Amino acid sequence: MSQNKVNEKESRLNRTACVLLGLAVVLALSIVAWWLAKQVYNLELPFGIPGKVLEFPLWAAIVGLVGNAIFKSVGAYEAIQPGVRTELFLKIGLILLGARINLSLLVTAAGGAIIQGVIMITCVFLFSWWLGGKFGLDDKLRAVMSTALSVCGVSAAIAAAGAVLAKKEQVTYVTGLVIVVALPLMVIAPLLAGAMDMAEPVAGAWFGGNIDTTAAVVGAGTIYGEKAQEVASIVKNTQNALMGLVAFLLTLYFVAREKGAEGKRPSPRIIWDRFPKFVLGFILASILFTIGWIDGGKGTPIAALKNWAFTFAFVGMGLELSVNEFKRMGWQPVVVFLLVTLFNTLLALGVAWVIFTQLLPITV
Amino acid sequence: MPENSQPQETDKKPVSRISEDWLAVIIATLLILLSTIGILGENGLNIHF
Repeated sequence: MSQNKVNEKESRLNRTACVLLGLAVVLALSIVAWWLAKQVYNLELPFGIPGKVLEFPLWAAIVGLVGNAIFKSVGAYEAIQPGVRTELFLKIGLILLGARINLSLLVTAAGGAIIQGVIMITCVFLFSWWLGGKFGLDDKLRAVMSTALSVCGVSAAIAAAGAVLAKKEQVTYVTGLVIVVALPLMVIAPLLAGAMDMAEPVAGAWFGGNIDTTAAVVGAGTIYGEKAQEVASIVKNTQNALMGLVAFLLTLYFVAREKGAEGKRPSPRIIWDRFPKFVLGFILASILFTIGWIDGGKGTPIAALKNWAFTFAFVGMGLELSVNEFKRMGWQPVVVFLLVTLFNTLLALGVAWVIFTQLLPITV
Repeated sequence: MPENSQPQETDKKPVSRISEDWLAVIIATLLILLSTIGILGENGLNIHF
């Protein structure tokens, strides 16, 4: 056997070991988060805050952040990173969530979500693009940031970066910003919704349109209530499904403006390539639930597995946070990101309220 | 110029024969199947949250 093949085999074994180690760490931290959430649930906290408002997504994210700091400080982070598959855990959780969503709710909410998604993506993308230009941000950074803010956070940033060939540090920077802003929003948004006495479907639609990353959307929905979690997930999944179209339009734009380049036009196939296929699993699970073949309702094993998958994802979100690029890029992108987030929050509030209370109210 | 500031294809997923989306669909389908036939649940491996 040649030396190259031996090295390749060793590196594959190392990678497998790292994946297993990372998965074990995520599982252990998730159990800690679950245990903490249970301990606090029945307590009365200072200022009369009931312990049950501190739901498991918050504990999981905190435990993940603590784990992140510990593993980085002891230099073991690289060894666990391959097993921290936040997006995979989240997608599994979302498909399992589909197993308790009635198809009529899915259709009603998705109708409003498509209208909301088109309005939000167009307005937030264009505002972010314009504001980024005013602050003198690089076009590729503007494209990645605008897509992350308008569509679906981390996965949108990665897809947009692929479409415009952004630099690696630009993606790391934007995904870091997405998580730093999404974590507090995951807690603040449900509190604000509660203060405004917002109905759960409207709150869910607001979280889905406003919070950038899908994990935090699900987290905010979970904190606010079951129906909020369902609607938030449907709205966010609908927005995620539009990702392919945005990636296609971005590629078209960047190819068209590359002067002197050979200008190979992108194929519309990118729309399907970028389409999040797990959404099909989510819809199929909802259909199977509606016809009574499966049941993911409260207290069922599917519901428990869904909550564990989400806990893994929230722990992963904390573990994956990286702020190394922040100092290098300066303050302008942070200001743009925060201003667009504020714009996004207010616009999503208005749009969700109009669509889900006036035009297409959810009564299911 | 530092190595990581070269433009590059940044959407590479971890080395895998199937995409993460389809992997999620397969795992979720297996979990739903195991729960529905009772291997996961009260009469089998009892998973609760």
